[in-house]
Amino acid sequence: MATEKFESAGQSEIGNLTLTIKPEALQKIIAEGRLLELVNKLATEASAQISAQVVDHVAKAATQKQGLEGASASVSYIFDGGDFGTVPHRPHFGVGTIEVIAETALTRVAAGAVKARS
Amino acid sequence: MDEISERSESKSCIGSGTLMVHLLGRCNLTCLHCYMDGSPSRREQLAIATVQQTIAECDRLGIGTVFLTGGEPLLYPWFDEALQTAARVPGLCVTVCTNATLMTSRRAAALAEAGAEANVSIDGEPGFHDYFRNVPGAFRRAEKGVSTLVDAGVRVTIVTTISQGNLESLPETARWAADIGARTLRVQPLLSLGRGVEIADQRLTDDQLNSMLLELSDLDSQYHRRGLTCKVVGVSRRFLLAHPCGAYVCNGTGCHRRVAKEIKKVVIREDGTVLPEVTNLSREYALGNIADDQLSSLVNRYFEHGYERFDKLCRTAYDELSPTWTSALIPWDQIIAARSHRPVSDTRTAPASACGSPNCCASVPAKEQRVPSLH
Repeated sequence: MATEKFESAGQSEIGNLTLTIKPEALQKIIAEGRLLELVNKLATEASAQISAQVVDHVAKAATQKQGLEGASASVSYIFDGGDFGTVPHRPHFGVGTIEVIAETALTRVAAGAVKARS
Repeated sequence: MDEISERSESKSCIGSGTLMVHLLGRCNLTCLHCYMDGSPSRREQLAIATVQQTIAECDRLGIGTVFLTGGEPLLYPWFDEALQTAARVPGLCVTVCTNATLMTSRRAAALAEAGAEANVSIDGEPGFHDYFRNVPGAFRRAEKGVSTLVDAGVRVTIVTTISQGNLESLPETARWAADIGARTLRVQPLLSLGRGVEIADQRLTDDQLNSMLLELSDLDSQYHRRGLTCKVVGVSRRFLLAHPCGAYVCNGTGCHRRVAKEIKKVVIREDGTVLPEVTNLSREYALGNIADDQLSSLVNRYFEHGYERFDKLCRTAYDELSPTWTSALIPWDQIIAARSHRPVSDTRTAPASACGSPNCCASVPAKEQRVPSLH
């Protein structure tokens, strides 16, 4: 098991990475003298996968209300919705949830739902 | 903080809806990626009476944000009148989307007086910007325009379309934006819409997109203290999965907001066509034409007849595509626009696409993704 250490905000260990290799494949690669090539290839692929997973963690945090509360209140997330730069001021995509919104000319609330100002 | 800045800062938008008004199709630039084919040869423009009447309806419709755009809105013959009308609507936040090359001190002062914000398109270092905007000297003129806006106290957002050609200059673009006094840098990954279809090979790969998102988040933290916020334009896969209403798929009592029918953004195109949510949507899904009736009447009629078709378009796309999404950022409007131009009987095929999903926008021939000319 490989453990990544990253010094940040007093936390020396923030997660871990695991690499599993089939023993017979490793033996063959050693015998062929291609260990360094293997590591370089794994590093490239791992980099892409790690990027994708970190982005996913950030995107997930941005959708959760608690992600903006408490200790992480000052965190701002890059995901903001909209297109061509036309992000509406409200509702603010990417953060929190609105339980029930008020009915307007552009919004028809489902029958039976309680009307309240968000 | 001076009085004008304070007014701009303190404006709060009362309604949750958004109105996007394409005042005209004409533009002094011919950008390579323009999603609505703006150019000097375009002649369509909205009548000022129609614009004023529509903006005046915002309050009643629950619209809290209006975007005045084009083409280049500063070329609209009655731009000042449109701006003043919007400024008079209580609680209406106004943003002018401009290339800033025609910005003057008088115009900037008018925006500040109206409490309006400005979205300015800047695509990176001068050489690339001029290439992308298709006019030599466009960057320097836009830079001067942004300075004029900032000096006047207008809150400026820099909108950068990111592609293979300017990916590496993103940190420099952020530094430039902070230096010039912009408040937000909003990065828009290149979309296959309008003329952008012809340079679709310049779009970022998923790996590049992920790296860009990480870098942008770091830039956001880095420049936060200097007053610059960095954001990406578009919705994340995570968000759309958690909140289908972000994909225009409301679900009545099943929706966490209990919304049965909703239009979050009303788009008025330069020929008067009124569209729900998506600027490049096929006219088949239009609410009607603003020259024919008031916006509120068009909305009411649409909810009774027409909305269901748009809802089905979005719902079908969501149900088919969401299980296969791999990309972090989903170009939902591009997907819906592309699908809206498909014949109804079109069958699904196709491999990789913008969102990493099969059966998505890439399955539509480029020609169909391009919105038909309004000429």
